[in-house]
Amino acid sequence: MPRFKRLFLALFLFAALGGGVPAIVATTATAQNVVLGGVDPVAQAAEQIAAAKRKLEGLRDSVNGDNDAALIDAKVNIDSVNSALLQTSIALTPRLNDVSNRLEQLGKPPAEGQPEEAADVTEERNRLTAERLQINTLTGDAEALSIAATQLSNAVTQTRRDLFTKQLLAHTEISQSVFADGWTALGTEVASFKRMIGAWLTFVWKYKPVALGIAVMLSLASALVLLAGGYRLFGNLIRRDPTNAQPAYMSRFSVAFWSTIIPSLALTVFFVATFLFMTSLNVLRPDIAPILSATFGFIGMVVFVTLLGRAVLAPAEPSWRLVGVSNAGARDLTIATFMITFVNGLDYALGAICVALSSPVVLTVLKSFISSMLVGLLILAISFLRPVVAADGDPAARGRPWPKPVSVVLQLIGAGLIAASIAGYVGLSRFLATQIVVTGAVAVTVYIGIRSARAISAPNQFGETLIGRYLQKRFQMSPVAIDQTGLVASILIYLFALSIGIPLVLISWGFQPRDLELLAVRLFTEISIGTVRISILGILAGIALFAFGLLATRWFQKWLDRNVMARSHVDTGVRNSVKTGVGYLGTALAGLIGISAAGIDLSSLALVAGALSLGIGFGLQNIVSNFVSGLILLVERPFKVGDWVATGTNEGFVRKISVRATEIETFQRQTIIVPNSLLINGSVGNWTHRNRLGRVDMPIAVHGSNDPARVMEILLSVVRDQPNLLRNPEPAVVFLDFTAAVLEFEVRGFLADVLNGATVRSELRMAVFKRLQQEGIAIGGPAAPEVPIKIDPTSAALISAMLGEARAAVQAQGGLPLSPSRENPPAKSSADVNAPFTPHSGEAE
Amino acid sequence: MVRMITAVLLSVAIGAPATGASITNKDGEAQVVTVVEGGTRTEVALDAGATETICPAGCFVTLPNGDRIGLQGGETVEIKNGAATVK
Repeated sequence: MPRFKRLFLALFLFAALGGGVPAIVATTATAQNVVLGGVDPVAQAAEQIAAAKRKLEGLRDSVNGDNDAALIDAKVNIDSVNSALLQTSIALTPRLNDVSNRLEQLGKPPAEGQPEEAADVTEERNRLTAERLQINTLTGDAEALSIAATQLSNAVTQTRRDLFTKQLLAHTEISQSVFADGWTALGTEVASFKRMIGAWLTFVWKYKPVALGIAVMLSLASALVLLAGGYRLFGNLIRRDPTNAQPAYMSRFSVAFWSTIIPSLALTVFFVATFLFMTSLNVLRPDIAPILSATFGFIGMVVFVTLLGRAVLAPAEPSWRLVGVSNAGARDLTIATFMITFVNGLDYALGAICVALSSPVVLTVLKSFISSMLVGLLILAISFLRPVVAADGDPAARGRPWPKPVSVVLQLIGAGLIAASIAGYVGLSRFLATQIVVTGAVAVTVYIGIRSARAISAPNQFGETLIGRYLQKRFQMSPVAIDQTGLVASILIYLFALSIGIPLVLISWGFQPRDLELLAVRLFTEISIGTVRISILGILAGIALFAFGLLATRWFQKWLDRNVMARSHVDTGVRNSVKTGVGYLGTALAGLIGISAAGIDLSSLALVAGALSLGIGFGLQNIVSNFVSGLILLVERPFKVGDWVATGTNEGFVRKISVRATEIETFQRQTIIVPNSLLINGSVGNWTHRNRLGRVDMPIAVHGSNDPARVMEILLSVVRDQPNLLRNPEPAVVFLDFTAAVLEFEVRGFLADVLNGATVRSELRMAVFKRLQQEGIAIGGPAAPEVPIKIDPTSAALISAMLGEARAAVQAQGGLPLSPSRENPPAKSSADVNAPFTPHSGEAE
Repeated sequence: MVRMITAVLLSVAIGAPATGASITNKDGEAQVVTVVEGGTRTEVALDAGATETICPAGCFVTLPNGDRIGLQGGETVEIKNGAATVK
């Protein structure tokens, strides 16, 4: 954390300074302009404008030139004059400011009939007004000159464009005579070329053998050093492990990248070193030098493109291929790209030789004709290949043809090149051929970049790369976080590949880098759709500021909680309320800052919101009511987190109070989420609001036959002896009710902690029950109730007589079996003989 | 890790809206300024109290009271009673 703080402070100061430094520079510059009395800014500006005018007049003639290089120079000069004019006017601005302020201070001249003012005031005012007029006139001149300069610059661009078009669409008749002329010219030129090279070599050998030897040796030495060193240092990056059957895309990509870059770099350095050595040792002649550089360029280009093709297509190692092509397709494509590059490069090298030898135009025409024909034929041949890997993925099997659009485009291009060449528009076909090769190379590179970005974004791939592993170690990130970082990295690679590839292609097709720069700036800061202006940079800035605001809020919350409230021993509920309140406030502030930084104009939204407000208001009624109730709960605190509350049907402990609802956990560990409006609008019982005291009411019922006074005495003594109940307030016993069967009492005792209620109650009941048993207090009646039965005297006499007879019979037999069995069925006769035996109340058992 | 990213983004955010000069009309009524940018002359109307961002690449501005100034980008111009002050 401390390290981050320091870093952050440093960055912040740097950014602030970065904004402040230009201001400081500007003010010092302004001060200089005013303080140095000798250098009058107005006079200086007048001089500069006059000089610019003269320069512009001089450049006016160069607009109608023929030489492209001269035209470019002229345009550069015109543009510099333009920016100088702007700078001149900007330098005048502070002076104008001062003059205007002073004039304002002096005030208006007195009107007619007013008292005259002092003479020097009038004089100063006149002087300043004249100066102001002069400044305005000068700026007006600068403005007019600037417009003229821009027009001139545009004229130059137009001339260049016309020149280019004329060259491109130059038509030459391709006929038999042209070929014949060309053949003879070729003979002549080859002879003169041989002569030139021969002369140069003999010259060097005779007069500068040492120098030549040194140059050659140095170049060879540097080449060997580079090669050996490169392979030693980066060998493992370049080597393809033949045992690895399924290398990851990233490894394939990195091997392809390094195996292209390192040898190309080595070769480039070798060529540049050779050229420099030869030039510094004066071995080269002015006409040989361009030939040599063109040859070097040609060889370097061919090597680079061939390496690139072989790296991407890997004809010998199918598992290391970067694109899905079959083996035969890879081989064919490698050969084809090599040949196209070779033809193109040779064409340019020969072109340089032609210029050096001042060969006739017909040779140039023929050379371009042949090269564009060859390139066209090669492209046609490529379109008929079957390079796409077979459907089952086996690279050794016969491949599938190109997708239809690709093959059609290739055929069109090839046919177009051949047709243009035959029709005589050789310049056009030459230009197209070059452009195709360059655009194709850039497109392939961008495609590889996008493929690798997709490979990185695959699950668990980022963690395998070097950067991924470093991040994991340094910041101890979880696998999920690494995966997300991988996604971000892949998006960045997409953007990078596109932002490099597209401008390269555009520049190669003739767009100016300055135009592209302006376009990019305008794209990022201002996209106008009708009257709505969107600035991408502004939106990004808004998002970044909002995220930072959220982080700052969270940090502030934690700091407040930890350092201020915890140390002051503030109640947990209050801490929670303050923390949540600060959180809401901070989020709202961050949102406002972010929206205003993004430049979003909220007034137009307000109109729409006003129209929908009625509907939204009705719909959000309850939510807003809950939200406001939540705020009231936080402020008023009828209950805090941890209290035991009872609302309507729910009872439990409060676990969390949030914006919309409160979470209550019941005793069965069920969480009930109660909307806040219910808690505010209804009554809420809180067992632990001010303190944890609580009263325990226990009903006891004993049988109606007991003495109530005695029972009360016993109960009182039990409850007074109970350990968990408070002595003050005193426990009490109340005689509630009595019926014929029961006497109802209630035992009331106070607890220190109402949360122990259940335990105390069950202990109390146990104690009461034991004591009642001990004292012999009947809690219920006898087991079997006694039921009185009414019988009339006659029946009573009969039954008595019956019983007497039965007794006598039993005594006579000396004890009959007590219960009737199958051998001894009960004496039915006595039952039949009985007179009707009608009980009047109750029932016989 | 997240903090470092936000620190970087914050420094970018601070420097972000620094292209173009902004003109504010502090008068009670709308004013019209003539802007010559890259050889083209346009009139920009400013409503009372409105702020516009103009010329990211430098321009000449003619103010309602006849004053002419050159702007480079990044300046703040306030128009009061037809006269302008460049900050």
